[in-house]
Amino acid sequence: MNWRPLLDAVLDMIYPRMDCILCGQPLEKDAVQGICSSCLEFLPFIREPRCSVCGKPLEETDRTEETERRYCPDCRRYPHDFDQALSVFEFSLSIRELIHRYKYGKEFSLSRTFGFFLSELLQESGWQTDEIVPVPLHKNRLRSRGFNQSALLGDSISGHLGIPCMDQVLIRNVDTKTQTGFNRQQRADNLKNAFIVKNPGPIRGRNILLIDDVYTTGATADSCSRVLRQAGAKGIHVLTIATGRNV
Amino acid sequence: MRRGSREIWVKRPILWGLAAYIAGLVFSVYFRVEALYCLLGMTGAALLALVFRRKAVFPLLLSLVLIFGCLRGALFFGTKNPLTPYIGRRITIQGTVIGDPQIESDRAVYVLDVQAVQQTGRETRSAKAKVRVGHYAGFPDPAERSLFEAFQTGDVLRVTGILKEPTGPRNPKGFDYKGYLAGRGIYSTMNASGRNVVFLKKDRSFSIGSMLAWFRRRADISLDRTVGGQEGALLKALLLGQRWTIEPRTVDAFQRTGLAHVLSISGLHIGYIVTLLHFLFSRSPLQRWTPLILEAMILLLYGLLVGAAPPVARAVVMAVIYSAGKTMGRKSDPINSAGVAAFLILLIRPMDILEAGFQLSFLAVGSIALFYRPIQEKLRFLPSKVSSLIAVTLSAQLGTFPLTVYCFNVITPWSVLTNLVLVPALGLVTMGGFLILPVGMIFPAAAKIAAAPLRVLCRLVLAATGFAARLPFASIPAVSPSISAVLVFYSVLLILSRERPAFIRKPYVVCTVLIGALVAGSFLAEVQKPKDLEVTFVDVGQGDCTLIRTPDGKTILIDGGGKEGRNVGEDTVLPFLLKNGISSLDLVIMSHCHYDHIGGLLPVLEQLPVDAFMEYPPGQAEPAYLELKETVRRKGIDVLTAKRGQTWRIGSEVKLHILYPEDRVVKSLAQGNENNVSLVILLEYQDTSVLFTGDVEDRVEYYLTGRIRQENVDILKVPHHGSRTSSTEPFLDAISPKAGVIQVGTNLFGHPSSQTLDRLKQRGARVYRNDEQGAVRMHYRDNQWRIHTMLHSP
Repeated sequence: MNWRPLLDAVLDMIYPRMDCILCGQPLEKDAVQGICSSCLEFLPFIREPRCSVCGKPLEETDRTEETERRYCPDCRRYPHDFDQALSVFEFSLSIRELIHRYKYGKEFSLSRTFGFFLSELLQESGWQTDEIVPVPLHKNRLRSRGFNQSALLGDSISGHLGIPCMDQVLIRNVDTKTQTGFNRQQRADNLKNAFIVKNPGPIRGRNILLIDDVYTTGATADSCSRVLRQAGAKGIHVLTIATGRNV
Repeated sequence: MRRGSREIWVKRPILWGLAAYIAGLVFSVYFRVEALYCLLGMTGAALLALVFRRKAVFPLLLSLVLIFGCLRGALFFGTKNPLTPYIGRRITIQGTVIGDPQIESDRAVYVLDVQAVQQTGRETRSAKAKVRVGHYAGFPDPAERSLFEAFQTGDVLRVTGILKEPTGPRNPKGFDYKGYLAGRGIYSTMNASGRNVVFLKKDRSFSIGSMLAWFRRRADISLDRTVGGQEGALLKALLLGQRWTIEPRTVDAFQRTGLAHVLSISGLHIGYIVTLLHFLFSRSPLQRWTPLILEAMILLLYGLLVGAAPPVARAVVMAVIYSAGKTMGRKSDPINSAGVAAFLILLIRPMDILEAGFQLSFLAVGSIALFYRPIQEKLRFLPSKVSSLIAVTLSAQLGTFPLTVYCFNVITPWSVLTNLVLVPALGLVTMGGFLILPVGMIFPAAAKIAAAPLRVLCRLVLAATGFAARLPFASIPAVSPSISAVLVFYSVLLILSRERPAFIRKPYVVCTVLIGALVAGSFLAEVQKPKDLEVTFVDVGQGDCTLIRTPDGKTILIDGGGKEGRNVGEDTVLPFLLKNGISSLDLVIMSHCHYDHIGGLLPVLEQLPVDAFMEYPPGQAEPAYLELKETVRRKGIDVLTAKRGQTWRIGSEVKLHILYPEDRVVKSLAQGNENNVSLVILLEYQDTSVLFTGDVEDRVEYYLTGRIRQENVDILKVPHHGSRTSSTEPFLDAISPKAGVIQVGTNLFGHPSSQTLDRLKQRGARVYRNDEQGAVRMHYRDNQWRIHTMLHSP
């Protein structure tokens, strides 16, 4: 039995959401995931048209037929190791601040809000998913941050949709530097051999959903996908909270 | 734009649950419900909830909680005293001391967890009950005090004495001792002196309780050694909750400055500890759950150590919710957390709902949550530390003000200022004490040096409090507001807050209407009130005290009780007056100068406005009398010297005829016995009269017998507490009272004598006694006396 929803319900009783997590105004009774209706309207949800591979938003001027596959400039040039990626939000200022609060401001409860939107998107996508695998943190990083932001997202989706989340399958065995400030090549180099699959049993022949917080160039996702593929994963999809625009 | 609601009850389902639970509890208090019916009701509600599924689940869940509250109340309040068959008998009980023994100047008070009972000459039976044991030294020699100071938590004692049932309120609106003890699971008491308490053995079994008791004792000794004196006593109160170790005078000073709340361990202290812990943890390598678990355990143990009174329990729960929220990345909401705390406390101890400490604590927190921010925003021009301190103090006082006045009958205008200065100082003292306490238990010498600045700080705090208590208007006595006034105050407070109910669109209009209705209502009640003569023989223990209220609202107080070593005036007479709406007196009469008649008058004359003071000058002036007269002189109260032959008219319908003393005879009748200098006053109203006799004895009664004109004395205040040497047959025959009131308490003189009781009964007078019936209140209306006693005769 999954105790998560019950636990969440009890915790919601002890820690009620009083104000909007974005603007701080009192919430309406029927507010979605702690966000008031006016803030919800302004959230930068990514809609069509978007890149058929990495899910980044595309300009409306890109005149191609609805049914055709569309690619962003990056995906035209570089191939990816995963099948397809999607993000919920465009990496706007407000989303950037929210993710920052989540990762560094210790507002773990935001994982539920993100998890909700990720689950919605996953259901829309129609992907076949057997297991959720969060992008891991190195154990040193885990100790200093105290939690793995991707694993909490995975747990939350798991709670919503009932798909098992496996956070002991994929391991980061190199304490890599932070990716911020690196260009495409540096990012890929930084992550070389960073991940290993410790326990390939449960992923062999299965469809995997990789979870991360932000998708930038896809280096992390590719790096993880490569080792997962080697370990025998069948399909690999990537879901993240936010991604930037590629022009 | 659509806006969310800020109403206090929206988004906080716990408050709904709490309200339902409290409603259930209160219901079970007023209508004793059987637990069985509650169980049936709960099953019904649960079944309905299952049937209706989603449609009406919330109201059904609420009613489930409500009936559960009923059940909890029924189980708690329905508990019967297992020792009832032994009430009034001399028995020997054996049991273990639990909780913190309370050691006072002439007695020690223990709560005994009784395991066995023995009635003399019968076999020992096992029993399970808590008994409050008062152990009196029984010797004037202070050296004997060591005899009872030795008993500690965990000691097994055998106590012999008469088992008593505590009584409910003994005076109108007085303290409900029975309810107070019942809330602690205690249904009987026993007083024993000297060697009637025998130490058997130490209970060696280990428990958290025994461990805490050991710690408490060690801490106690350590504080005595490292700090000592009044400073040490202050620290003991602040850190360990041993408020009774502080001198009464100091406690009084704290109360007068509105600082009493810092002396009893409260939420404030838990706040200091949490601040200290967070500071220490933030500099430690501990991660995530470890500090939280450590903090929760430390707070829990500390709460148990100091006795887990409602404010402490409340603060511990709220602190843990706050810290756990931080660890889980969830934001805690103070009002909601307070609701959770209230729910938990009332689940464990439902009786707390009736306690002032519980109510005040939650009112303070709720009010701070609602008004802290708006007040601080108004004080932007001040440095933020100062403005937040003022905002906390002001908002807390706003929330507790009417209930404080209702319960403690005092207004402390300086309290905002004194809190502002002394609360941070006491915070420093508390945190310093917490750092020094463990050091002192391990390296006493080192702690002694470290404690020196702390001692200076303590002394400064005590001096500042003493100074503030002497400021003019430091504490103003105030009558208890009516319950409807208190309710209106809190409604107005909620309506004026940001979280007011949404259906109230014009808050100021609604508030004006509410206040208007209150004023009109109390005016109507005043007009409707029957105009009658009311005489209350107040229960002051051994001693006299009578309050007369005339139909036109004049108030007369005859005597004020008094007992050496107790402050009857502060503890009984003043609260009685103020709680019954009397804030000034038209006349105070001293029957004679003995301490059990005037001891309690001093605080009354000192604190309430009094128009006139009536006396007959005593033969010998004793210190208490001189002090009384000095106060009368200083406050410019008119002194009326009463003499035989005078008639004083009080209001339009009541007359006081002075029958005695007569200058001519008083010396020869009294012969140095002040009892026979007592005023004898005949109160005349319509066709009835009441005779007040003070402590006169047979000689004065013989003198009076031939001189009493009136034959229709209906009520007699039986002279001299029912002494054998008073209430002589010719005197009783001459006045033939229909009822006699004996003002008497526990005493060593054998008052009232059985002969006196017989003499009264033979003449058909109904006898009322303060010691058995508590206060006796009489109304004369429609040519008829209606008599009401606070307690039912045994």
